[in-house]
Order: sequence, then structure tokens, then C-alpha cells
Amino acid sequence: MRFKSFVLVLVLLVLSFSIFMSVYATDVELNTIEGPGNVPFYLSRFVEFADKTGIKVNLNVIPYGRDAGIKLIASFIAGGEQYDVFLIDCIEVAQYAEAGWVMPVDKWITPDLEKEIVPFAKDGMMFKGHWYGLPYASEWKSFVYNDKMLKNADYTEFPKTWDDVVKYSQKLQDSGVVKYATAFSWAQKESLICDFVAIAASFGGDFFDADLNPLFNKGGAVEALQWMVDSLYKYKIVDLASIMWTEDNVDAAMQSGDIAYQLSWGYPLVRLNDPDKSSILDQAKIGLMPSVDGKHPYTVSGPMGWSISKGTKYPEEAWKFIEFIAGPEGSKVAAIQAGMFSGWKSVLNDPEVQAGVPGLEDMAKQADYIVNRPIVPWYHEFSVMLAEKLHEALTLKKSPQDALNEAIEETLKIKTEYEKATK
Amino acid sequence: MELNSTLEAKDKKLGYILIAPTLIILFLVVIYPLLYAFYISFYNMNVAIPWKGKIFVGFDNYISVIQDISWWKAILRTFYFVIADIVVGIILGLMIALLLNKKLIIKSLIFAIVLFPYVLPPIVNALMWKLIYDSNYGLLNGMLYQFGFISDYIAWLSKTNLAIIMLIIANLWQGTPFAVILFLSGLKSIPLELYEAARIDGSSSWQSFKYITLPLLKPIIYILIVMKTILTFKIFDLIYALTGGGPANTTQVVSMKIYNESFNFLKFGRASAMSYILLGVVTCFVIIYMKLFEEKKETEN
Repeated sequence: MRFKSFVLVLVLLVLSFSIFMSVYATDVELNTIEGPGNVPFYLSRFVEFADKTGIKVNLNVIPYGRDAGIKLIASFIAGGEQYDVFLIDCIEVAQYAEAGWVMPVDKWITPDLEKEIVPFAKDGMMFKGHWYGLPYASEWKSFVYNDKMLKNADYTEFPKTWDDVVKYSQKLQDSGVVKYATAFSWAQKESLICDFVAIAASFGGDFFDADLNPLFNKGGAVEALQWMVDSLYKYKIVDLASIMWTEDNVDAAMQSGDIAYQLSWGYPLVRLNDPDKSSILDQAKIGLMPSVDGKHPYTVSGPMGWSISKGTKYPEEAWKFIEFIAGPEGSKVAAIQAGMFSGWKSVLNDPEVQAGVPGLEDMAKQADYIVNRPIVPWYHEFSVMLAEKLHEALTLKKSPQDALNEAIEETLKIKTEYEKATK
Repeated sequence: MELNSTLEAKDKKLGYILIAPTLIILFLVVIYPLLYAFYISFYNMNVAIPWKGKIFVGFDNYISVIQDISWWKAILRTFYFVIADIVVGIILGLMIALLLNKKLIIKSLIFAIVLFPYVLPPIVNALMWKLIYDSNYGLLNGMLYQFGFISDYIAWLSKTNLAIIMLIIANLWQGTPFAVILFLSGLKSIPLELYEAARIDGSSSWQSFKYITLPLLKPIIYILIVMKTILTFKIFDLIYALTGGGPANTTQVVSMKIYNESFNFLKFGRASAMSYILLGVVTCFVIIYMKLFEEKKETEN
């Protein structure tokens, strides 16, 4: 009897305490989730935001950034309250917007912001005419080369064509400067799609037409995939480990001086000139993306931004946060301190940013030659399928033409199935 | 008497109250999700199209999965993984257990070293092997190159014919200690008099092993076959961390396929159907094993 009473009193106490805490905890706290990159930067900015506004931001760190998507989706299905603000990739905007998971922020967008934003960064944050966040890492893949290594092989300029890349690479390897001239992020993941889109565009290939019909089994796209295969097995200028590498592995190889060039997101020279991370200080430079004729140096864009969950209890506070971290002022800080590519014109033209971000002037030359991946709600399923097919070509299981033909068939199935399911 | 039964009833009631929280949690975390997954396997449920809700499709999800060649390829790959794990794992486990059953001076130290992989979290094991297999700085390449077994470093996880073998090795490294523990306990339970009698009759070590040790360890071998089948069929952490199913799907086991269906394509209905088909496949194997083992036991009796 006494024990029963004790258990009952204990349960009542715990319940009362929980109710008290939930009713009387009035401080606004925002929650977000991210991968391990840039955690110290985020934490310092969150402290600044809290000091300025009194709004605390809690960061949930997970081992691999892209896995945040799964946790975010789980939270959206459960109502969207768990994470108030989050980083969104351009390839996720369409799906999240269609599903009603992300809050449109049109009401907060002023004419000044609209004028300020770089066009491709705006495209990355918009779907069907609505804004779904502010641009944060409005980046593309730049061609980065180790100038010192090229000079050691008697080259005074970066390679402009893919034939030049082969020629330079073979000389670099034959003269013992590097074992492999380059490496790419060709793991069976989204990183492979990004590289394929960039290389295909530089070969004059098209990905999709205006009506979202896939076109990548003809012309330049097939030639691009053939070049990728040849670079591994015929010319042997790309490290075979690239087949299992993502961007982090390629960055590490470049930082260690193992390769002479790479494609890199963001402001690569901020990282490559950081003595804590790189052993090739002041050796790297930015060039234009090589292309088939030297005249179409196209690369792929990957704008990301900060968005607000539709289920957040604090939309106004969430907007204050994303304006702080991703608006023009916040973007300037992120550019200088964390190497985040700004989507705001004033930041890109800011002398302090240009001085603080090495290579920005060279990178800006690439801005006229950018292609986007399709902004469609069925992108994830398409991406997983295309990565499988590209890998079948890269591992010699299928020819590039066969692999891309199959990819086209599957793409049409995915598109049709989605359209049927959403009618 | 009446007082005793009243006290017993009160004890039982208290017992139910005390285990109630555990049962509630078990129901919410295990039973309910299992039942819900079975329920939604009969629905077309894409969480990225929430305005459509769940649409009842009957057995369409199951039929679509069974007609999907990539599904059966994943099953075959997983089965290959399972067979390798069973055969090599049991032989290796038995060999190590036989060694540890001897009188050795540093037996405790060897036992601790042998058991170490088993206590590592699976993801830590996976990340460790990722470093070992690294094509430029990995321990495996370094060792083989230094000893002259290879003339150039190999990108182990980039080769379609090698990637799954490297995963099997990584899995065996972690799973074998479990077999060692079971075999060791089995060996300790074999009466020494049997070996004495065999020695007196002039049996060799091999004959003792073949006619005494092995038959008496059969129940443990059967248990290991069943458990390894169940555990290896649902292997995920290692594949996810090391290869993600690549290169070119050559390591895409069935759990990765289900993961893609649910967390990349967000088709929870079809993913649930896949899970229950997998459950059916594994259950079939277990039933086949049990029948075979029972028949064998009857024959031996």
C-alpha cells in the first residue's frame, strides 16, 4: 500500500514538473540541423544572433550533411515543429514546396532584396513564382588548379580544353609531379550528377529541355560520359578511387597535394590557403572550366539557402534568423569567414569580400557559364536512378550510350508516374 | 490460505503495474510500427504527395516488388553475403575457439583481442574499415605493398568485383567473435572423458575432432546458421558507410534498396511491402533450416 502511494506521488510529481516547464518556458528557441562542416562558424553566429535578438538557436549536428534531409522529412511528416529553420538545397525546393513542408517567404521579400539577388541564386530559392528562403551558399563548381605543379611541368596557363587536360595530366604524371593529375567526386551519389551535368554542358550537351524532357542520351552528354570513362581507363589521369569519392575526399586530396586540379564548390582558395587544413598554401588558383573547344566553359550551379519549416511555431523569429544569417550582411560575414559563396550582388562586389576571399575575381568570370539541374519534385528519385546508370558506364558494365539510353527510359517512367500520382 | 492467495493476487497486480511501462514502450516502439507498416503496405503512400493521402491498392505493391528485377538482384547479392558469412564465419570461429580452448599462457589477452571487434558499434567498425581500405593512405594497401604482394595501390571499394568481398571481410571481422564465444562454451561442455577414451582406443586428433567435437557442436552450428542468416540479411550500417550500395549497385543489398525506397523516394507503402517480403524470405530460410536440422537429428537418433 505504502509502495503504491509512493509510486503514485512520484508519477504526479514528474507530470507536474513537465507541465510547469512547458507552460512557463517562454523564451523563444529555434532549432536547426546540419552536418559537421562549418560548425564553429555557425555556433559563433548563433551566439551573435542571440545577443542581438534574445532568440536562441540550437544546432543538431549529424555526421553527413545530406542525411539532414531524412531527419527533416521525418520532422515534416510529424508536423514540422522539430526544426524551425534549415538549409535547403536547390534540388529540394520543388519537392518540399509541393509537399507543403517549407514556408513561402514572399511577404518578407522587399523590392531591394529582389534587385540585390544574383539571378541563378534567385532561381535556386524559387518554385512556381514563390520564394522559399534566402540564398546562403549560391555556389557553382569552379575549376581549381595547383599553379606550382603546372609550372613544375613547364605549363604557364591552366588547361582550357579537355584535350589540354589530358595532355597536361599525362605530362604531370610522367614527370612524377603527381601520381594522378586529378580526382572527381564520382561516388554513386548526387555528387556524380553534379559533375556529369557540368562536364556534359562543357561538351555542349543538354540535360533537359524547357518542357523537362530529358535530352542527355545524345550529342555532348554522351561524349562527356565517354570522356569520363576514358579519363579513368584509357588516359588514366583520374584516380580510380574517384568512383567511391564524394567532394570531401577530393578536397582532402587537393589539400594534401596529391592531385593537380579539382572541381570545387564555394570559395576553394579560402580552404586551400588555410594553414590548418592545407599543405599547398598559396599554390592554388582558379581557372575557367575546361570545355570541348575552350569556348564553352560551362559548370553546374548548386545554390543553397536557409528556409523556414511550415510547421514552425515562430515564423517571425525564424525569418529574423534567416535574414540575419543569409541576408546581404550575414552573407558577407559567411563569405569572408566560412568561404560561403554569396547570392547577393553587393556582397560579390564588396571590396572587403574581394580582398578577403582569394580568387573571387577569377571565379566571377565563370558566372556567365552556369547551368542548373532540373527543379522538379521528382528530382531525388531521378538522381538515384541516374547515379546508378552513370556508375554502370564508369565501371564498364555498360557503354555510355546504353547507360544513358536506359537512364532516359527510366526518367520518363519516373516523370510519368509522378504526374499520374499527382493528378 | 485465503490470506496467501490475497497476497499473491496483490503481488501479481504490483508486478503488472511495474512492467506496464516497459510493455507500453515495447508496444509503441515495436508492435505498433510493425502493424502499421503491414497496414500501409497495402496502400500507395508517397509522403511527398501528402495531399493525395493513402490510396488503397491491395497487393499492387507486393506484385510490383516481386516483378522488379533489381529487387531480386539485391536479394541474390544479400544471399551471397549471407553464404560467405556463414561458411567463413563458422569455420573461422571454430578454429579460433579450438585455439582458445588450449592451455595458453596469454589466453586472456588473446581472448580480449579476439572479442574486441564484437564490442565496437557497427558504424565505428565501418568507418575504421573505410580508412583501412583507403586507396591512397589505407593500411591494407600499405601492408600489401610493403610485403611485395601488390605492385601498385588498389582502389578496393571502386572495383565491382572486389567491393562486396571487402565488405564481407569487414563484416566477418566484427561478427566472428560471436561464433567464437558460442563455440568456446560448447567446447567447454564436452566431457573430457570422451577424448580420454578415444585416445586410449588409438584415435588421432583429427578423428577425435571429426567423431567427437564436431557432432557435439552441431547444435551450436545450427544456431549460428540461423542467427547469421537473420542478422546478415538485414545488414545495413556497413554498406551505407562504406559504399552506399555502389560501385554500380554491386553492393546494393536488400536493406539499402528498402532504405532508398523509403528515405530517397519517400514511397513508404512500397518500402513496407519490400520489408514484409524480406521477412517472408528470411522466415522461409529459417523454416527450411529447422526442417533440415530436425530431419538430420532424427536420422542421427
